[in-house]
Amino acid sequence: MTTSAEVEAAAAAAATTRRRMLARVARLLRPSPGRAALLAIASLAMLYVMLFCPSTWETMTGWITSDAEAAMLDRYRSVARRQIQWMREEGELMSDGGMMEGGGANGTERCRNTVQGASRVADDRGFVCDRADVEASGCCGAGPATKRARFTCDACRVADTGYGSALGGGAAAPAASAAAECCDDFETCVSCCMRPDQKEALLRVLDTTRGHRLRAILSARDQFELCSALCRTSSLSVRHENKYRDEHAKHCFVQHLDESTV
Amino acid sequence: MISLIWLVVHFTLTSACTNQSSEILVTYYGYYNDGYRLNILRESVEDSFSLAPRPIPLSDFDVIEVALCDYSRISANLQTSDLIKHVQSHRRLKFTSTKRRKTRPTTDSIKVTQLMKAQELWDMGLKGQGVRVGVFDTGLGETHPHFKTIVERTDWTNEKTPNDGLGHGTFVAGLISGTSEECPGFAPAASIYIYKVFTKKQVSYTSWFLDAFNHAIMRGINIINLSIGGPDFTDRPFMDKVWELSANGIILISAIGNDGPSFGTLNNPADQMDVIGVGGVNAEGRMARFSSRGMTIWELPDGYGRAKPDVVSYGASVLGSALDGGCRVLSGTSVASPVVSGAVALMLSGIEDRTLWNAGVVKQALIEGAMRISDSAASIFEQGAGSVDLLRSFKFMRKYKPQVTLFPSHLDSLDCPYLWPFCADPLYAGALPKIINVTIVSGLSVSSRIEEPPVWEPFSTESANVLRISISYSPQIWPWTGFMALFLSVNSEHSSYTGNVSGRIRLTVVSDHFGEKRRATIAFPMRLRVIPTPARSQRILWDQFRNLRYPPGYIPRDDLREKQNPLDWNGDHPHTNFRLFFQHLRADGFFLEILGEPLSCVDLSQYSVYLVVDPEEEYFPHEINLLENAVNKNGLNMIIFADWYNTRVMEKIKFFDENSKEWWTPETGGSNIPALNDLLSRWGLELADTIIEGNATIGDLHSSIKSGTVISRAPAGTHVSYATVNDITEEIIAGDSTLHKPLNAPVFALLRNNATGSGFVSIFSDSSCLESKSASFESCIPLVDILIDAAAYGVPHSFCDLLVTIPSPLIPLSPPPLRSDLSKHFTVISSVVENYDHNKVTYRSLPSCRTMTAAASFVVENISYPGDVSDRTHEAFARVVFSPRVSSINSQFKMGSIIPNGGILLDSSFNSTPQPGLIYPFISILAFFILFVLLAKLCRWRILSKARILATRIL
Repeated sequence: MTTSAEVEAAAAAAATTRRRMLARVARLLRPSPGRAALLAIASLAMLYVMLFCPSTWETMTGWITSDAEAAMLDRYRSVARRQIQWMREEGELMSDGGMMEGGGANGTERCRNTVQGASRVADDRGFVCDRADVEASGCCGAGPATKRARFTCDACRVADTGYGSALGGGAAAPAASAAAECCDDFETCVSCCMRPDQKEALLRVLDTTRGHRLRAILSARDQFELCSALCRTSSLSVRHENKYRDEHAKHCFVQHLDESTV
Repeated sequence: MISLIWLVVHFTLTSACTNQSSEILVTYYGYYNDGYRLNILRESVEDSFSLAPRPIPLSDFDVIEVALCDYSRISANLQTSDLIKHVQSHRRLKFTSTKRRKTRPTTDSIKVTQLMKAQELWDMGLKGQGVRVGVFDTGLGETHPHFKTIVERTDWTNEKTPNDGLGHGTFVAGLISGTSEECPGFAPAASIYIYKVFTKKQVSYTSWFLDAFNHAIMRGINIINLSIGGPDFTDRPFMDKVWELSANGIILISAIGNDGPSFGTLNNPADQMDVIGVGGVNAEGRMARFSSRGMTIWELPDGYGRAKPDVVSYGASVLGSALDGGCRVLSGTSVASPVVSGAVALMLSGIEDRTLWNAGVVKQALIEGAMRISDSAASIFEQGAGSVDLLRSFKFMRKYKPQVTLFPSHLDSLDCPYLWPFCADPLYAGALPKIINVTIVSGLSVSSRIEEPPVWEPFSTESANVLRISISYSPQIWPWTGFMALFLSVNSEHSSYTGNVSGRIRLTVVSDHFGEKRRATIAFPMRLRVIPTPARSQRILWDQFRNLRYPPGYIPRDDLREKQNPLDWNGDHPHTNFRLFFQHLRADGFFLEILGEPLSCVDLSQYSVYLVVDPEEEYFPHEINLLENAVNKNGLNMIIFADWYNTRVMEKIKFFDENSKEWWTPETGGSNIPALNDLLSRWGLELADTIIEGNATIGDLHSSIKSGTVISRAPAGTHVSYATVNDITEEIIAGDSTLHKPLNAPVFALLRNNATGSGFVSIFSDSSCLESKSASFESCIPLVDILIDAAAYGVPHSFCDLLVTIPSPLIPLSPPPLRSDLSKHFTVISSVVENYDHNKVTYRSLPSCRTMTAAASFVVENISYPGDVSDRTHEAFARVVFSPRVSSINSQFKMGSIIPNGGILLDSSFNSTPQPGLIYPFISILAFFILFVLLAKLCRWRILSKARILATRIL
């Protein structure tokens, strides 16, 4: 514990340092004819490069922005960590479930869904159903052909990457160690990834993802968007560029691989 | 596997070239006389040129003078000739466009927005606004003056900059949304997303594409232009991703390739059903020579390829944005693709209902709106549905109701040459079924299906009785597209029927679209020529089953001198690279039937000739027995065109594939000589692993051999033709051009069995001479003519007399070539062989033959074949569209939701990555500031040190 006096003293010291810094900057910026001339020459030089040597200018700005972009991505990563809306825990789900299912019918509930499937669709509540059972609202309804399931991991398994624990028989077990959690098809992958208890595993994915793939997941505002982005096949899914690492379990929401192999 | 992807581009650097001319030095492989050389030049150059006279008639080079504008095109055309060794500029030519200088549009450069009448849509206030176009290319500079609406530029390569270092990406983006008045793009207000996936050295990887494509889905891109392509259609991760993009509502428009004019040269991804594959035409609307041609070869050998490209557009000498901020001229299907992408972006900005912004509807609009090109010789495999007509397609989309489109839309024996080869090849009883592969485009929903089998509806009872139709179709039409293959044959009891039969195949497509059941019907009208079954002497069996090709295996090229493409990838089909040969046989009145199954599935006694050209696949032992019996006892004649085989050469031409980081070793030689020797051993014939090239004279016929084999064993009495050729085996292995040595070797053999009722066996050393691209004077088609005539009417003595009849058996100097242990994947790609262990072969079990049940027929007598097939409202098309319930789909979806066409409606306040438009001025100001401070400091130090020096001096 620090006393309030200590805090005040520290604050005062910090204020003094800041004031000194500002003073130095101000001194540096004080106009003088020589500096003004130099500034003008420098500006003209840059203007010249910008206007007449577009390629050099682009290399320069490109050089600056690539670093800036990496820094920006890192900042967005921390924002994403805070702002992603996660699926609610089991208790809330139970009390909510009835209303959600009714939602499609009374027309108030709207769902986003994984538009792409040939025969199956996953919605933003974690349901997977046949295309025929998708209602006008975009939600998986309890239709006649229903094989609707929620948070299903039925076609998922731990891919053979040499890492730890298994996700067996649909039982949720977000492993403490790094496990790759992969599914046969995209829709099941999204549904499995939507389990509320996947949050910790997904946060780890968010922290460890680097490079180009990061761009595609940072726009996610909730677990559905994050899972949809993660479950797509990516540069991590291939070996020798044109074969899948695993022909069957190719949609992964958790995948820890040596980045150097890609 | 190789994932060869290349930028589909022909660089044609032209500038201020109208009145200037340039000289080209053309060097030939041999010394030819005047007329011969002129012939060679005329064959490869369509444009006008003047030929400088040579003092001596016999020469190995020529100097021709051409207009500077045509220089690049002509020299490229010249290079495609097989007889021309070098093409170079005679006087050093300066490419001025590498300098910073604005190119002026010349008379022969195309301002493509004018030709496509984009102005009419611009006048309506449509400029592509609200449409997001992704350009996957070599990037784009930030400060390029032609672009006003670039939303984002991302780099997915290892170059760490989204800037264009090549000019390709700039040109492509310029055609879509350039704002220059000199070379305007189609949709200057479209939101442009630049994805740099190619480095300036044209390097690219599948994994770069995968991540960039995912980003495009996330951004809700509407149109992606892919002016790229490669021959590999087995790169599953890439192809699956392309399907995924289409399924998410993204319209993919891609260049069909620049490997024309040969057929079977389509590039992936443009050859995928859901992708809009674009071929190239020139300003006059004629096919561009470079444009790749159909059919797709995925379906071979047992099926039949789809018609591609989908449409064509302007791709030769088109004016667009240059890297330096000016305009330039470029040719290639790389150019035709963004022309269509730009036109589609322009069109979509006038379509309020965003559910129509998808690959299905747009493909329908382009196909239904397209006009057949003025080049009357161009078939559906060259021009697709025709040239894109922006206004017609726009009108189609404005009035759109969910419906189904078939491509081709109809089949008519009289619609020639557009429906070549179907129109060239009549049906008759007893023939192997003719197959047509129809692409189904459904605008109902991303996923639809054919619930009830399609129905065969003959227009008369006679047609019902004569024609037998079997139908196979894709169970699911996803994403937006599927296929329907029709197997056409004539019932056996109508072997003497002559006439046209007509009818239609009607199918209904259903789809579940967000709680709504959609349904639409379409029919495929057919008018088919039926003739009496021709005599056995006129019927030839072509063995397609014996062909293996790239992909998936590394099947090496047949001509080892061909350095451009290491692969045998054109399908080796009578309708692809052996097209001219097929046409020749048809013109001579012969009928070619194509066998895609083992020989056990066909009645060999129906045919006069069994023709096998460039075989790579093995023979089942049962097939060899069948052939031996058919030739020796049943009068079948066997004609074989072999190719080179040498395990040391195979070892030599292996290569390291940079893309997949794997070594690639050929699975067999140009053709599979060990397999052929197994067959030929029944007649005491054998082929060697010597590789030869040169000219041969068989009887009185001349033909050239490029990397052929040599006949090494033959029984006494065989008629043989010797040729003085070059043995290039050691030359190829050592890579030393001095190592070839002359060789007098047998290159052709004809073996007759004198027993009555037996046929002959003939072998020729090489198969390249039958390929379409070969010039006529070196072709061995005349040799086939003689042989087929001989098969029909007996071998003429005049021909035999010109050959050497060997008195004693020909004995090989070395043992026959063995199967190579190098070919590791052969057993994977072969459907005959299960295991190769040294030369011990384990065969798979003989597959069962295809049995197809005939589709039930329901006669509809009051309908007739349409007089005008372009009138799609004719009752023969039975078009029933879906009329949706009135609902405004757009309003159902709030911001941030994934709308049914797959885009995510993003509100602009949330953007994960910085907008380049905002960050760049900020960075510039920051840079100025830092520079200022640094300079200020530097300046101060200088002053200080000066003072000190002064001070010292004073002291």
